[in-house]
Amino acid sequence: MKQRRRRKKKYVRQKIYVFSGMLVFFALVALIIPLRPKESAVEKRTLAKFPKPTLETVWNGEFFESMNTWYADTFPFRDWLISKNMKLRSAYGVQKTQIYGSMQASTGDAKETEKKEETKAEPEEEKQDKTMKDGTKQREIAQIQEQFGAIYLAEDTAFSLFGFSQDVTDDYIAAVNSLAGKVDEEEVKVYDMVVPISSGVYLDTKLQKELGSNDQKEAVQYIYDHLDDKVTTVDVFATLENHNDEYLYFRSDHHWTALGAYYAYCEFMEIQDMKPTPIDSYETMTFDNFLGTMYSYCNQAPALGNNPDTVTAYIPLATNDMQFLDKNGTTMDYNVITDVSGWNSASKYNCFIGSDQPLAWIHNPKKSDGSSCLVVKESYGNAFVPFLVDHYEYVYVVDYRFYPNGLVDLINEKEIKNVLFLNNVMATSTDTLIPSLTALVGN
Amino acid sequence: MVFSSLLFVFLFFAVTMMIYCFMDSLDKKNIVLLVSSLVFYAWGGPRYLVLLLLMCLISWLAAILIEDNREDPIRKKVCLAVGIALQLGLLAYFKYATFLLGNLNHIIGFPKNVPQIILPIGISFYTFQLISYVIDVYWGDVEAQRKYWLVLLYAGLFFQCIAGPIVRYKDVAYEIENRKVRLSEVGEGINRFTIGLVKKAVFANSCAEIADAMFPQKLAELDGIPAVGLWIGVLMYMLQIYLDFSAYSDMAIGMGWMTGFHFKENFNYPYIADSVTDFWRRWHISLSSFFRDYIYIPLGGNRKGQKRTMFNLFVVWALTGLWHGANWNFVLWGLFYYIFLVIEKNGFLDILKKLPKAVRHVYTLLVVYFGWILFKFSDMAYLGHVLKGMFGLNGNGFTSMEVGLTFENNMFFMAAALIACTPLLKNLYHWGRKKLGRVRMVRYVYMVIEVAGPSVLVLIATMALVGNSYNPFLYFQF
Repeated sequence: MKQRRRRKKKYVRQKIYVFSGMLVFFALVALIIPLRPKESAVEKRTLAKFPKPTLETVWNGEFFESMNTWYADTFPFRDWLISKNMKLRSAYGVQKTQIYGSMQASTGDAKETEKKEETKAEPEEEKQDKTMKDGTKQREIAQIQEQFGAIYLAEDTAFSLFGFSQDVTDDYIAAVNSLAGKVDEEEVKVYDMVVPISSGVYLDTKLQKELGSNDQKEAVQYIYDHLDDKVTTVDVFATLENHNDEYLYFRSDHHWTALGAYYAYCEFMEIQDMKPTPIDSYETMTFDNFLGTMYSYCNQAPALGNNPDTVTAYIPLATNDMQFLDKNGTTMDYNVITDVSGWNSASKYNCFIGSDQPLAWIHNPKKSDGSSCLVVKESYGNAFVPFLVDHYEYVYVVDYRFYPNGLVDLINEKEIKNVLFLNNVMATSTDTLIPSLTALVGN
Repeated sequence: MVFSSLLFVFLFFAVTMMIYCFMDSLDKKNIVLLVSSLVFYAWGGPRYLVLLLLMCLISWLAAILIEDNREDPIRKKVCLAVGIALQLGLLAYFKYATFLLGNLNHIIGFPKNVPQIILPIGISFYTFQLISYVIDVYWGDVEAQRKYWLVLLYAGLFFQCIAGPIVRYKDVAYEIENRKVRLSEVGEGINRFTIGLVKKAVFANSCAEIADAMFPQKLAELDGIPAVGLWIGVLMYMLQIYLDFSAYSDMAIGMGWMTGFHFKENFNYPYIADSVTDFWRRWHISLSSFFRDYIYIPLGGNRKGQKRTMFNLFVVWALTGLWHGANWNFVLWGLFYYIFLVIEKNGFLDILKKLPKAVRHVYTLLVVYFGWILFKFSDMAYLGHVLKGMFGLNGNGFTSMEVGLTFENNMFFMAAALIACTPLLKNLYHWGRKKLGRVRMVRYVYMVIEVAGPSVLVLIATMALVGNSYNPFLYFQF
């Protein structure tokens, strides 16, 4: 009896040692400032910075509050700890299908929920600037993000759900119509292509409805019905649906694949009575291990993490050279398809046309007929543009979120013959995006 | 600072405990605790520290004056009255002025501008502690503390200062100046502290996520949730409140044990209660016993006849409600319990006792369950909305895909959270040790759990807390 009691006491001593040891260890590690991460790759955001004390913030406690946030936000081994926590949480239930984000966001009163999610939507622009060859200085750019409503995760595929906003859509229609009214109908042809997002192509209508996702086909139809007759609409819904047993959209990212873009390109060619290039005549580059935006949004769901996407890019036949004007106004030489195999797993979609630049242009040396096409896009356009390269002498690309000048001036200056608005259906209902387009077109 | 923050655990707590251990006398140890408590309290904004210092000053003086005038009943009474009035006045100003003036404005249109006064952290808790101290001195239950800094240590001790339990001075008076630490109690304290940490960081926070989605605060969001969603949401809210609040008490009690203090238990598995009366013996014990000892019994308790008893209970429960927040819904919540307690007192308890155990539990849990709906909403329109919605009268149907998925995705967790509210696991652990302790393998397993368990729990809590920078304890608003 006596012996047992002593042994029990011994455990207590050991317990106290282990506990104190662990506490001291963590306390010390947490004090090693160089171990503290400055940004989180998986969350795609800059982490909290140590606050600067002022008399006022110290007095009202704000300083200490920010210090709390800083301490927790930049805790050493943060990403590792988070991913372990996610593993633990996958035992919370049967998680074959999941919904991330509030469903209310995709029905009606969407504003507030969407705003919260803004910061998570796209990789920081800074990151791709860093990797640029000639090492130009970075600049902070006002971030205009594409947004998610809720995300539906089924097995190894994440689907972003669609929330229709009539007000925003009307603004979109007005912007496109306004441009069509401002250019000479004889000289410049205006096209509009609204691309569905994956849920609209892959999920059956009934399920979409149950999930609270609005009908994308109706939204596209609504836009096409209200566009001016001067605008030629390019309907890609049917062709994407016909191929919906193929890899048209990424499973872990909100973008479409180049293959998806290819089918849309075929449709665009047909409308212009041009012949699309057969897909097998392109040289390709493939980048494995792509874990895109929805992977971070779904709290790094293991179902996605264990099955990363593959990005396949098709190199234009005529040239792989391009130039763009970056956000500092500097002109850069670049590649239409860039080798991103060394980039982090979240940035693989950046292989297309230098990602989102205010203005990019590609000169096709094999043509000299003065033909040109301008694509006005958000990031969905990136995978699409390379296919156009072979068909025009000049392809111009404007990202309406970042291009600082007027669109009409650009069209006149470059004597552009074809203008294609290429937008995903989600963007046409996003109230933080469309105002930029309106501003670009001017009233 | 909250207990469930990394900064608290790995910086504040670790450093404080380390320095504390290296102090060789109790006086020095107390100074360490006092200084750290002041830092802790000032963390939420040093300006409120002034208030804490002032409140303690009032109590300290009042208690000494009462004791020095022990032979003079009138003076003694005056000292008590002034002391208590000042304390309550400050509490009323900081906690209830906005509410009172808002109501006045509503009824008579005056004052035109209702000032928005920010509630200082923990004021409800430490005011009650200080009041109990003064009254206990008045009653002669305990001697007045002559040293101001020890009164400050009593009320401001960071273990319990901002979220309870409400510790009585007489319970710790001796320990403040003469406490001994036992090794086994330090061990128990570590267990208690780490269990509390996980309870909050993992269980309460996860419950909160589900509750926020299925039982949201905003009307616009509430509008779309089908009946089953609301039922699940309220259930998760019910679990969240208990896990959150009791976690705080666990950590306070645990830290007490580590340093030689013995605080009374604040919760005793309230959700296994078999009557509403029983529930309130198990829920926030330090608060209900405060009201019992300092309001109900002085008012005459149940010794002055049936009518007076009912009145006394009414006062106690209206105040209990009001203590939880300056809003009518809290008063209503208190009176909701008053009604059930009165019914039980007047014979229903005897009927209950004859009913099967399961029925008694279901009845109690249902009362508590609906109580939490009252507790959540300060707007009555919301309340009606939720109640209608729960019975499918909002036109949102019975269930939806989202509700189904939320349940499916979290069902194991929900079961675990339910179990965490009962003593099941604890009993199983002790039963196992008792029955199988002779088996060598089992003994090893227990040894490993005993030695490594708390550290593993801290690791789990750390994982959950990282990336969760904003993480306040629910009970702070009180």
